Amino acid sequence: MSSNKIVLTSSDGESFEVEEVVARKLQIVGHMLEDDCVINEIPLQNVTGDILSMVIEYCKTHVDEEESEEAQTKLKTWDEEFMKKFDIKTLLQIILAANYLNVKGLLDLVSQTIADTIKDYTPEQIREVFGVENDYTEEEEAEVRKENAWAFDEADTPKP
Amino acid sequence: MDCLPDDLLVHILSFLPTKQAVSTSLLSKRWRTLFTLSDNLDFDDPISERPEDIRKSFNDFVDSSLAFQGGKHIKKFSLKHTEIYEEEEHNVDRWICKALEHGVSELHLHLHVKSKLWWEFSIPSKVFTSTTLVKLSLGTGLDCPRLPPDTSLPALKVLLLDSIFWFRHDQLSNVLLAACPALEDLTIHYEYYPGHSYVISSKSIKKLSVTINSSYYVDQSSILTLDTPNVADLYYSDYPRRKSPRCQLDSVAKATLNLHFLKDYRQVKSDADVTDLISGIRNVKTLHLTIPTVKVILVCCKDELPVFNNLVDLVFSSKRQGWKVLLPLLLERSPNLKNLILSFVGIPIPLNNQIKILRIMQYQGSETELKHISHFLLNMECLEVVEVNVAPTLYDPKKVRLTEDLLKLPTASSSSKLKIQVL
Repeated sequence: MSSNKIVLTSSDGESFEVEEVVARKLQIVGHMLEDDCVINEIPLQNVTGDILSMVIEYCKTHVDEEESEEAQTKLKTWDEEFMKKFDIKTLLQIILAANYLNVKGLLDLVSQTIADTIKDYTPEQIREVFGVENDYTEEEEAEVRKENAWAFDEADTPKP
Repeated sequence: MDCLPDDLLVHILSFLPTKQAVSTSLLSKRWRTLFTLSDNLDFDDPISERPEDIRKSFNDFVDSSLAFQGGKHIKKFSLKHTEIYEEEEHNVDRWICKALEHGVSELHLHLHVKSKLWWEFSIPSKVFTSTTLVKLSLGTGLDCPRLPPDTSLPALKVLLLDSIFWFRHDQLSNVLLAACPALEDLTIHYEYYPGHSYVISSKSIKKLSVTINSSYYVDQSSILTLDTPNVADLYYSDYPRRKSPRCQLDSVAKATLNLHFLKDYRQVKSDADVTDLISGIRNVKTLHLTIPTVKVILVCCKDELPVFNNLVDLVFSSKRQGWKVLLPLLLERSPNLKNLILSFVGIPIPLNNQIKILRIMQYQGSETELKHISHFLLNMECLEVVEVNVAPTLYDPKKVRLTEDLLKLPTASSSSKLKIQVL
């Protein structure tokens, strides 16, 4: 692998010099490099420096994805610890960045983390934690519950 | 979360079991139909105890979500821990076929038909001619009909079969496995013994796990054959039988054996044979032998142990005579062994345990007991207090020596105030 360096610049002007193999983990960068192989500085408009640094940290760790079970377990543990560092707000920013930069592994990891968080939440809790505004009227809400009654346990269905 | 675009929200929803994904329809108008765009249909909740109208709501939901997919690819369809009523069987049949039409790549069916004793749910034969399935798991006690003559699963990589009733015993190897050229990972679990002469044969499998939890035929001359020359990773759990399993396991690099005697079946012990199995795995690099396995090998390896030329890592656990007899023999026959992991108590202690206080009663001061304590001290990083209560029969000078021995043991505890006391 070439050890060519690439400079990635965030929307707020922060620059990160990384190895080409790491930069290529960001598929958006990979595609740019394929189109024109002489670029060595890439501006990334939709992501701030602090979020980009997290994405780069992820890509550095995942740069060689070994197949051995041991390596896989190690990576998994690293992923879990990595995710623990962030609050919900940061996670949402990372998922947006992972989507824009096209880092599939990170996109799935954050999605899984958010899914695990909301799995045991009631709709009210999800609304509160993620700032979702309830725009249903009471009648509409009852209607939605009725539509898919099987998905709501008796316990959290309000009695008429 | 409202700042995320729809496709990202749907992506997050696809990591949730469908029931939880559906419950997000209550969040707000925007969320009302988002869940229907998820390509994962994961129904792992028992629904049979719920009232009839709820079950109908569920059945309608599965139907409509499968219909709603249009021409879209479904990634995963899973019905686990599901109990269905006899009259609902045709529903499940229809769902499976629909999912297959949508090119499903992961199919998990673990269901049980209520009010049936023997005749279980019969897997639709279309499952066995899917060109898109990559992962398939079937269990428990599903009934596999005569496999279709054009059985072919060209994309299948991972297969799990949990106590499947086969129409004929030779169907697994001769028809099913023969039709899975890309299969890499096979897990088979039996609650009953599969048959008199039973063959698992595949050239492509790299990882194989076989668990037989039945003692049928244990004293008969039944033979299990593992004809899997490319398996690198093997897990095998069974009772020792009169005839050793026959093995074609030339590539096996990692093996875990869990052989165990039946509790009240003394006459079998001296009869049983595991020679071929042990000889079959002689090329391993990593070998894990559980406590009961060590006992079985001691009794049932009729010929001498083979030489394990490639063995580098050995995990060995035993209670008694294994230490004196089998371990020295294994060491002698493993010329390239580099890592020896000994488990004295046989209880693996999880790495991140939080145990703070360890109190030991009736300590007699034998070497084995000291080894046990050493094992604990090395694996419990949070220990703060170790208290050893010696048996009252012990006389004082011995007690003093004991204390000295204990205090010399290496510890993994990061606590600076670790206190070891002998009482």
